[in-house]
Amino acid sequence: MANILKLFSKSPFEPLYEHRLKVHDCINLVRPLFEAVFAGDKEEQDRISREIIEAEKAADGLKMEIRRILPKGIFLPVNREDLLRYLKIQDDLADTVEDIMVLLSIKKLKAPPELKQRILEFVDIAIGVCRICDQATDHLRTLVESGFRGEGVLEVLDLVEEAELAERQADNAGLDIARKLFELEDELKPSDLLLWFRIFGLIGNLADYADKTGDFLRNLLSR
Amino acid sequence: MEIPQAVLISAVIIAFYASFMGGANDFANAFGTSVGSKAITIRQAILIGMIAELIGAVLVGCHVTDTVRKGIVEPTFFEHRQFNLVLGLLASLFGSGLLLQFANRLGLPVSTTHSIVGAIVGFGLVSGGFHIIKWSNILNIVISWIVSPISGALIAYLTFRVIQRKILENRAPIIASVYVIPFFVGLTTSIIILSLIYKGLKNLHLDLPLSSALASALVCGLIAGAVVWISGRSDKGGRPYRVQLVLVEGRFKFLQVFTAGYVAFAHGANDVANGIGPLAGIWTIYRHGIVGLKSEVPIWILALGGVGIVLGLAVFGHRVIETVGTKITSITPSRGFSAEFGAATAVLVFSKLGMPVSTTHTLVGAVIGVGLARGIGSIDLRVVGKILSSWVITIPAAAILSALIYSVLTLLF
Repeated sequence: MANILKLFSKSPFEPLYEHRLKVHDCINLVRPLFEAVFAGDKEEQDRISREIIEAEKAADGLKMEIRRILPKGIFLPVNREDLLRYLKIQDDLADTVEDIMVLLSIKKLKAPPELKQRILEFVDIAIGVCRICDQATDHLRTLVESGFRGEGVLEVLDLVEEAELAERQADNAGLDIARKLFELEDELKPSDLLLWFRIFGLIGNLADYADKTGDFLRNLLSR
Repeated sequence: MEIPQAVLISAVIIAFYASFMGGANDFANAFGTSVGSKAITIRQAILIGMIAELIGAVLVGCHVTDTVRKGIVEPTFFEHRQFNLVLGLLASLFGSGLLLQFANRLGLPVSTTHSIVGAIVGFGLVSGGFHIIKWSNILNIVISWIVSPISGALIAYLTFRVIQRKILENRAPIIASVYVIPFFVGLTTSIIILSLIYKGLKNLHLDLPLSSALASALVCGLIAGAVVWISGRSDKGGRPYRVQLVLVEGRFKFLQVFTAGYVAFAHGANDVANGIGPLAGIWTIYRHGIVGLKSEVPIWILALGGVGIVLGLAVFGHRVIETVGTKITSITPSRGFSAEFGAATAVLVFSKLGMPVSTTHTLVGAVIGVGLARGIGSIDLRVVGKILSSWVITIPAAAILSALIYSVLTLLF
């Protein structure tokens, strides 16, 4: 049947929101994961790892679904390429959490006691950046309803700015903690040193990616 | 030459059948956005559609009907062989009906309007040659085919921008809607009334001069707006912004019941001609000869077409739209309203100008207009390409079919 309703294809904004919820599930598990590692609770660490893998898989599925409903020729209220890149970066967040999980499971990793608290703080700062961007993403749903104008736009732009500030803070914290790590280089095994250094890098990436989603949100809105 | 009664009877039957098919076909498009946004149920759509289509067809359908019966080929050419014109109109009706039937089977989006215009041109070319076609009129019609979707898009874009500016961007959308919604109800009412009483049916004395027609239309609009305003005041302004946005969409549902009728009215006014335009030509020649074409289109013919459309949507509309209603779509009532208002207004204006335009194409244009205002979550532009390419093919196909049928008919009689 030749029908005008075929014009309206499935909106990507609801699945995008669901995807962000799944990514959020991954991010929420980062702190408990580190706590389990520090406590030496192998069983808890494995359980959390499995949860992360599951959430990452679910996010991946949603990513595919969104790409499937956005072939070329679909006209959106925002730039299609921007939206797909935004999706990719949001998905990278979940992948990064999985990478952290993998590095933590390679060997029984020892953390110097004076570093434990600092690591948790660093994790919190990075996750904080993600949270701000999550809020901004949630606003997208309202923006779809208002046609990308009005109050909501300003609120998102404020959040994006806030995320930028928080990201700089996370950068500094990353530098601090790396310095601290190398101050302790004589006490650490080289393998531990190497792994911790890479893990810190990934935690820093979390904040970076979150900040980049903010950038793309700004692009989406400034059309 | 005397025209056999059998020709007249078969013309009545085919015209009725063509109207019936048109109603069944276009119903899903005219009401798709209303049903898709869950503003109305299928049953309501059919009821509103039946009433509004009939009123539009009978009271405003004469302008386009006149164009179809005598505006495409030069009737004076057939002064001394009027039977050929009768056969030609019959062949056009038959050819365009066949094409629609065929396209329907294949699931191709074919415009009834384009096929009847193509069919009449086709028979004209074989019967009298290049010079009997009123090319300046054809040019106007083709221009109107391009302009109607664009104007639908423009009106829909502006309508949605007004809704955004006045309601959606407002901190308290629900409070803002209390004034904006009655405004649109009043505006729609005024336009419909104006279309009925200005240059309307002479035999019903519906042809008031512009000034008094305008005044009466405005008064009716004001009354309708006031009624809605009184019944629509709200105390829900204190709710959070997001909640209010949802509540506002609920109010647009009400408005969409109104514009769904508006679309049906405009569709009836324009598309009734596709089926009964040729019949109107045949009947007047049968009664009065070629000279008769100068007279008004008789109401019973308009009513016949209107009833055909109404029966078509009553019988098949259900089946057609059911597949639609269950699909999840990204259209909400405020968007559906904007698109319908834009499309119906454009189609109605073209109907008054006597231009046979496609309601479907105008509605597609209107939807894109709302999309350009960033109003719609996702539009599949590939569908637009399909619709455009199919109307390019429709015109020559209809022309060839009707030319063939005309040749066969002249051999028979």
